[in-house]
Parts: sequence; structure tokens; C-alpha cells
Amino acid sequence: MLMDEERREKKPDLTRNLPQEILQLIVSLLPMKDAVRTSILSTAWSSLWRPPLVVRLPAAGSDHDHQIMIKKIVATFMKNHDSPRQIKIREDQLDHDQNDIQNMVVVATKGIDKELHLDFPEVKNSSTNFSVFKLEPETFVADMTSSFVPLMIKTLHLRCVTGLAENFVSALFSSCCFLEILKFEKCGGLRRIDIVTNGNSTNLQLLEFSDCSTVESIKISVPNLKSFYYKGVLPTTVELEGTPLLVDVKFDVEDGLGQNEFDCEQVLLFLASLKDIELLTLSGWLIEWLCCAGVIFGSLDFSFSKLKKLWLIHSVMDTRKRDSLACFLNITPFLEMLFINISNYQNTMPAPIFHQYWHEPHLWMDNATVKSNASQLKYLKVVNITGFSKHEDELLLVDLLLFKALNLKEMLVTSSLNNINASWKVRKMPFSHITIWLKNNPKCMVVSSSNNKFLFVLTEVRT
Amino acid sequence: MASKGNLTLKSCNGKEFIVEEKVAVMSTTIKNMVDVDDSFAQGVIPIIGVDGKILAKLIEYCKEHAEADEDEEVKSEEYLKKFDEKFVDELNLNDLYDLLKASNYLEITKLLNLLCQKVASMIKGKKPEEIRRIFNIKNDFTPEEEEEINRQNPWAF
Repeated sequence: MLMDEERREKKPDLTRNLPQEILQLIVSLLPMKDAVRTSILSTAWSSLWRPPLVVRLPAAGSDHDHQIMIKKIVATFMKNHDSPRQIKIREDQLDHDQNDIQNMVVVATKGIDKELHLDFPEVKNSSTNFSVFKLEPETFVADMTSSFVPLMIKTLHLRCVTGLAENFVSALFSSCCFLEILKFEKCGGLRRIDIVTNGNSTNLQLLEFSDCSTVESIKISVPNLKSFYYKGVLPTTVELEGTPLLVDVKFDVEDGLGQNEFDCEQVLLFLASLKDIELLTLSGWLIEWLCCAGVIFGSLDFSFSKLKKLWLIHSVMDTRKRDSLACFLNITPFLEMLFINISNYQNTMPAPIFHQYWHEPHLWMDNATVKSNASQLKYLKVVNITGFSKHEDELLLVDLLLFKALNLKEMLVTSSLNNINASWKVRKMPFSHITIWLKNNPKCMVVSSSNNKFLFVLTEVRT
Repeated sequence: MASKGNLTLKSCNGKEFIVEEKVAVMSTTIKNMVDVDDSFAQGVIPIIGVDGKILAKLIEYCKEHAEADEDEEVKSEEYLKKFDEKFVDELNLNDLYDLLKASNYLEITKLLNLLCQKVASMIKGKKPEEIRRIFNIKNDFTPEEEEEINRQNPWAF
């Protein structure tokens, strides 16, 4: 146990005297970001990353020459060091001073367990901003025949993949036959993502894209893919085909539409391609928009018949959101756990007026009608609502879910007022029983429903 | 003089510990000494740079693990896990450093890994400022150097 007094005492920095191999071992046990972050603690820690390996590319070489060289450098880099290391590859330009990041091509950081981060410099106000990212089987075939050197990389993180980087990444990717996880960060400027691989050449199981503020279309066909995570604007088209093993999808489109248009048919096609998954995370506004655009979930030709856990994120809870959620739950008959994250920030997407001619028959009617039209969720065991503020709309949601979930084991609501998280277990109780209940459980909170027929008893849960 | 199968370990401040050989040879360094030179097995093995308090801690750890290696029935994996957790939780910062150095010098790999894991868990997810505070790390960079490191890995900070 580390006592506070001990920390306050003036003490010498003991890490200075630790042998370097111990520091190295500690760093190798940290996740990549934490590991790199230790370099700023003190010179003793930063010396682990030094001397930084700087590799210079001849300025006169063609792009193709550079790619081959970088590939070789990365291959050697991955092979030769067991502990986290970093190399910097820059173009040799005589006029530039050494620390200028202008001519930096890529910073490669290697973590433990065959993890590689490639950091491309952000290109500012570049007119030749590249916009299509394409990985296709041809590159595999081509590489298998030529000087193919497989790279021992299991996890590949790419940051700021821009114009210069595209060909290089494709070339690199084609040699990564052991790759399991591929992550893209800061995909600003990227408009199209095409990732198509054939069965025998990849182990790729997880694809993640974040900060996608400009993506218009995504096409993915990766036979072994299990998880697909996306965060950014809603692309006009998302095609997930040839992904029979997909089980886990996070589709966070909190950035709204960006420059894209909302195409209801395309979103439905995308959802239909997810019908066999087990875990799904969706932005709340998307369901509302679909409903507003006239989608009758119960009449679609697919349902999420394997879906076990559903997360709805960043939803402001109002009548429309609640009703559209009720409709959406009609096509998740085997749902076991439901997580709803209510956020009260007003940055959510107000649904536009769609030309509605076939919307859910009961939508935007009174709550009782919505309730009676909702199908029952026999398998739903756990409901967890965060960001709860006892608002009337939220209570109606609680009421609706308690009604739909016949075999519910637990409903938890959590609010985080003043940075204090408090969770309550919710029970519904008729008015007539409340006095007896309160006698035995004096510490409960009681909230009444709008029609005053029922009360919700909230019992605080200690965590 | 230790009886057969036992070794005597002597700390730098003169404290002697009689331990079973199987416990002592958890340390690769001691194992090598005993293997190479039989006289060590008879006499006293000095453990340079490790004081009595830390040596006692080391022996406590090795004893549990040596016994567990011998008889899995009595000391299950689960038991060891709990023991390890408690062991590192009860350490103060000074002991943690001393044990790190000692287990590195004596090559008690399992313990070294456990301790490094503990330090890593104290670093994980924290801001550099917090980490410095916890470990009394003195920031000895010039502002320019610090700026340069920040600039080079913007994604990590």
C-alpha cells in the first residue's frame, strides 16, 4: 500500500537508479500509448527510446523505390527488437534541418506482441489530399509471386493515412498475412474505404475506424472479420459483404451526416447485412430517423434473430426516440441485454420532416397505443439505462421496457449528477402496495408515473 | 551450518536465513552458484546489496511458489494468484524498488515480472504528471526537450 505521507515526503527519484532492463520490462508490459507516454517522464525513461532510429530515404528515389525501402525497414524493425521501439523514416533533403517534421515520412512504433503503429504526418492544406483507401486482393496476388517477405504484425494502427501513405500502406498490408487487428485513427480527408481480401490470405478479425469526418462510402469484404467498429459521420453507403463470421458491430455516427445525404434504403441495406450479429452498438438518432423516414421495422424482410446485446448511445430521450426504439425492439426478438445511454446534450440530430407515407402505424400516437403494439421481449434479462434524470419521457421508457420484458431480472438506472454516479434498481409497484413496501424499505426513492396508477420504486445500488 | 538440503543466505546487513534448497534455487543466480561451486551449498551464501527485510520478503515469496510448484493440490493456482496480489499490495514504494532490484539481481523471473506488472498497473491510464508524483520522478528535461517529445508523438499525449 502506498501511503500518502510517503508520497509527500521529499524523496529521491528512485527510478533513476533502477537498471534499464527493469524499466524496459515495465514499459513492455504497458499498452502502446502508455508506453510511449513514459518517454516524457524523465531522461531515464526517455533513454529507453533512444537513440531514436532515424532512417533516411534518398531524396531522389521514386515513390516505388521508397515503398520497397520502407517495407524492408519495417520488416527488419519488426524482426529485430523484442521491446517497444520507435523508428523515424524521413526523406533526405539537404536544405532541411534535422528536426523538421516536414520531410518526415512515417514514425513507426513497435509494441509488444507484434503490434505496430504507423504515424503519418498530418498534411495541412494539401490540395492533393487523397480520398480513397483501397485494399484489394490483386495486391496480395502480385506480392505472393514477387519478393514476398511476410511481416510478423498482428496489430496495425494507422494514423493520418494521407496521400503519400496510401500506396505504402497497401504494399505493407499485402505482406501482413498474420494481421488480426487493423485500426485507423484520424481518417479526416478519407472519402472512400474499400477493403476486400480473399479468404486464404488474411486472418483479419477486427477493423476499426475512428475520426471519420468525411467518409462517404465503405465497402468491406473480409471473410474472417468478427468485429467492425466505426466512429464518424454516417456514410451514404456501407457495404459489408462476405463477412459471414461478423458478430460485433459498433456504429457510432454521432458526427451526424457531414456532407452526406441520408439515404434510408442504404441504411436499411446496411442493417440487413448485420442481421446475424450478436452485439450491436448504434447511435440513437439513426433509429429515429429511419422511423421518421417511414420504416416499419416489423414489416422488414429481416430481423436480428441472433442479437443478444444492444447498446444505444447518445440518445436524448423524447417521445419520438422512445417510440422508434419500441418499434426497433420488435425486430430483436432474442435480445438478452439492453443498454441505453441517455445524453442531454443538444448536439443530437433532430429528424427532418420526411415525406411519410408508410411509417409505423402507431407512431406518434399516444403512449398506450405504442405500448400495446410493442411485441414482448421474452429473453430480455437486463436493462441498463445511464444518464437517467427521472424525466417524464425516461419514466415512460422504463415503464415500456418493464412491460415488454416479461422475464426481466434486473433494471438499473444510473445518473451522473455532479460527477457522482448513483445507480438504482427499478421496480414497478401499484399504489396500493406502496405504504407496506416503504415501511420495510425506508431508503427507497419513489417516482410516480404520469397517470398516477403506478409508482416506480428506486432502490440505490451500492457499487 | 545448514543441514542437508538447506542453504544459508546472508543479507548485506548480516542477517542469516536458513532456507530449503528448493526455495533458494527459485533464484537463478543462486542456482548457478550452487551448481558451479559445491562449497556454497555447504557454507553461507552472501546476498550482496540486499538487506534482511527485503531478503525475508524474497524468501516469503519463493517459499510459497516453490511449495506450489511441488504440490499443486495444496497450493492451487488460485491460491497463488491471491498470494501474489496480497504480496504486491502490501508493499510500500521503497520496498517495491528494493524488491525490483533484488529480484533482478537474483534473477527470480516470476517475481520480477509480478513487480513490473504492479508498476505497469500503477502507470497505466495516468497522465505523466500523476505518474511522476506517484514515483517521485523528477522531470529533468529542459522545456525545449519536453516540447520536442510532445511534438514527436502527438497521438500518445
